[in-house]
Amino acid sequence: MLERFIAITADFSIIIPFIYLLFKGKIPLTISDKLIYVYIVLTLIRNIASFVTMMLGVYNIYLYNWYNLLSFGIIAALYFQILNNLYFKMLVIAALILLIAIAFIDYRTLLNVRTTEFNRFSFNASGCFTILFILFFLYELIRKLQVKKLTEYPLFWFSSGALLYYSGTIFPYIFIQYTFNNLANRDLYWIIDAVLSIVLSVFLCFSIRHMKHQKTV
Amino acid sequence: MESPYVIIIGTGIMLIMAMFIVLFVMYYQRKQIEQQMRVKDMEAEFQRKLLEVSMASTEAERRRIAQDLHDDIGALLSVTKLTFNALYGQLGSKDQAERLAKQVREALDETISHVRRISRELVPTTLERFGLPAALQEFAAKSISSHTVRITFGYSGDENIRLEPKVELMLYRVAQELINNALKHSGGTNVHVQLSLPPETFGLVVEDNGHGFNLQEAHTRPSPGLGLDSIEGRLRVINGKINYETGPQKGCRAVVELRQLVLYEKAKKRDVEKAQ
Ligand SMILES: Nc1ncnc2c1ncn2[C@@H]1O[C@H](COP(=O)(O)OP(=O)(O)OP(=O)(O)O)[C@@H](O)[C@H]1O
Ligand SMILES: [Mg+2]
Repeated sequence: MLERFIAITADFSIIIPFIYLLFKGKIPLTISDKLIYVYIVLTLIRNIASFVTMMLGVYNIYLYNWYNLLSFGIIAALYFQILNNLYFKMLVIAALILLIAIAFIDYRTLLNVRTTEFNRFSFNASGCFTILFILFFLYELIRKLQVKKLTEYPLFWFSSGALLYYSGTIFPYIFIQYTFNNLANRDLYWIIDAVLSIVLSVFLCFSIRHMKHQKTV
Repeated sequence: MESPYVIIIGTGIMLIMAMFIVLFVMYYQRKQIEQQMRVKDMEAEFQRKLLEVSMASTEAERRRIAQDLHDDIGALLSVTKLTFNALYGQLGSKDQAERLAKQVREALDETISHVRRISRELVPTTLERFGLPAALQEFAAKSISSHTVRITFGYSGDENIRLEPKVELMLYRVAQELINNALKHSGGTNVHVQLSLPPETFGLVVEDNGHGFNLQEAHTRPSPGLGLDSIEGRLRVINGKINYETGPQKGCRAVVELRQLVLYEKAKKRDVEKAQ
């Protein structure tokens, strides 16, 4: 019962940053802010869609597999545009291509709407790459010192939340065949994901709170 | 299989690491920024000291030149004049010679008064003896004679209050430059200098009714003058600030303030007056 409650809370927690964004009204957003915006909207769409399909009793694993690829695309774009390091930019592009290639090894999970399986490779690959990007970004932050107050920097909040989320979910993803793709103990791992989703939403709220027109890295 | 434990422990470790990284980044970044600020402060302080030293040496140099002018050249000229007068007495009364001699004497007189004026201008003795109000008043009065602009001077507060000599000198030079700028560039007809001394807060205002200027533009002009920069530099040394209220066709009002006020000996002026 509690697990279900957490799962539902997690699904809806993304609404809070979304509403916050709407309340914030018209502010001049930086490109990073816009990409965070898109990330939030995409996550919201996934959660609503999966909730609706669950209610209707339609297969929805398909949604998750695609969401994973799309959200990684946004994150890659986010760090691609914020960092001015050529090697890093190439790494991001390589990671994106590699991820798509890896994801299509398990092509049935992407092309078959009625799939019951999570993509076996793309989740942990995207998680690893995201963590890599974030670590690099944080490293650049403390190396260049261009941001005076980290706690007032939207992208720092986003990165911290995402780092917690992706590093917390990476283990369940590594063993995805035994965890999510194994119906018997899937619920246990949903909880980890759900709790971390809530944490991420909270961090997103902080991120939005500090969005205003400002110079970025 | 044991995977549940592996996963839960692994997840825990990963989360702790992530948390640690985030906190570390925040901590380290703050430390670095603080460090950077400290270095910047030190650099600014160093710059200030450097400026102070260079300005002090300029003033010392001026004092030396003034003294040399007054003591050496001035004295020599006076001696020359005396000798010439003696020579003039012996000259007889040839018309031509008499006219030439008169010219030489006039030239000598003029030179002597020039030397006196220059050596007085180099070192503001009025300032040292009687303080800012008197010195500014004198400067304003002197400037009037040579320009078609009306200069007025007013002050409020206790005129016997003296600031640190270094501070007074800097303020005097700042006021000089501001007045000179107003005379030179403003194209107005009135310049007003207002000084407020303690017990009110200190303030020095120089305003004109000319055509004003664009501060940004004056700074970024290809070959800018030295005046505005030297004002900035002097005020940095004595921890003051200047604010220009100006714009095209709005005149110019420059307000000088001090962040902290070091009073020197009050009533020093009175002592000096008594002594004389
Ligand atoms: N009171 C004023 N009214 C109008 N313009 C002014 C006034 N004060 C300064 N300016 C403008 O600002 C410019 C910079 O002044 P600044 O004192 O730095 O240089 P300067 O007077 O031209 O040269 P310097 O002071 O080195 O002899 C001037 O050229 C003038 O255009
Ligand atoms: Mg000038």
